Amino acid sequence: MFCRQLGVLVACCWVMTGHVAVTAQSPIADSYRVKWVDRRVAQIRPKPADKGFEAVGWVSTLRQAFDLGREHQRPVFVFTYSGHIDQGRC
Amino acid sequence: MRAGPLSEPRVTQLLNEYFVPIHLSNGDYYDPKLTPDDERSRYEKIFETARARGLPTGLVHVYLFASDGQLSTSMHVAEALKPDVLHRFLHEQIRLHNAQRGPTLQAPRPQLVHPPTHDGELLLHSVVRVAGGNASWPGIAEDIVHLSRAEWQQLVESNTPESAGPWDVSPEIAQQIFTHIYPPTFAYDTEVHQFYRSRLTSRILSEKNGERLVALDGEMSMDHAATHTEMKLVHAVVTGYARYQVGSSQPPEVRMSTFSATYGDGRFDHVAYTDPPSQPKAVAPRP
Repeated sequence: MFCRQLGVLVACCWVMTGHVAVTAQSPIADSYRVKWVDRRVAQIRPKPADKGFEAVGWVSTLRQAFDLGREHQRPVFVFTYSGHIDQGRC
Repeated sequence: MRAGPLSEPRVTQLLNEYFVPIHLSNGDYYDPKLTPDDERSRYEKIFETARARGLPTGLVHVYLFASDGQLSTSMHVAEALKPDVLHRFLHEQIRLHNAQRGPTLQAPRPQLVHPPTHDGELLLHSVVRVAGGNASWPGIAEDIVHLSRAEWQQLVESNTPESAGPWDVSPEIAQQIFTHIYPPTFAYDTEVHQFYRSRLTSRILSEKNGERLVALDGEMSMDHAATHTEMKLVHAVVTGYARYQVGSSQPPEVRMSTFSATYGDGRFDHVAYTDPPSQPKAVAPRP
């Protein structure tokens, strides 16, 4: 019994000191992995409903915005922010 | 704003039919390399004029100009974030400026532009979708990860020839991918991320006719401080695969997904994939 416990302890130390590369445990069985991951990518990747923001005809520069405003007699809507709104990071 | 009022059809329709809409990232205007001087002058004039007129002003803000370029009014983002408020505001401005309905002046186009890839480079599209909790904002966030050939080779090739693994991918490469696993918050600078754990391992699942299927498994804990006063940790368990033609200089097809991902008391999902992802195959129910 003692020898078995000692063996487990030695094995743990062996792993902890980096002698064996231990894979991070996957909760998904290998046989199911590809299908599961493909399904998750399909579920989570951006959908048209996430891209409502891209339905707006945003212009690129203030010069263009003010020129178009004058030319078409339209008010100019300016939204300023910090970050990357194109990525949803702002 | 992106996932809120600026995605609402009743708001986007008004912006397209009655206004000239533009969004400006402040960071682009601080950097002379990114923005020409005359454009930066126009940007700075927005704030100067608003202050001079005694209008509410701020860096995250809505400003409304008349067609002659004169600043008309402004609105704090805390108000503009409310779809009803922004919708009513736009209607008021249409009436005030006697704006006439017309076609969209600039054709809508994708806002996230993929940067060009160099030969042999792997480009991963990284997507986060919030699933619940109050620790972050709703909606999705997208990032692009570039891995050079030397970097992606670590995903699919062991340092030890003939070994099916598992082997550890270097923490630096794992963190290039993991650093984008966080939900949308005020903070967007990945440079401040601090990892407490980041491990990504690869293992060959099969090899047939030169095509290798590699299992990717990982876990990470990372401090993503949305504010400077509190620490919130991202915890995630990741699983995925890479499909690779052995010896090829072409990057592998890679797909990864979180099995679980939390930020504070919130939950979110993350996937990363090389473009374009194919349509999902029919999935048999779990036995």
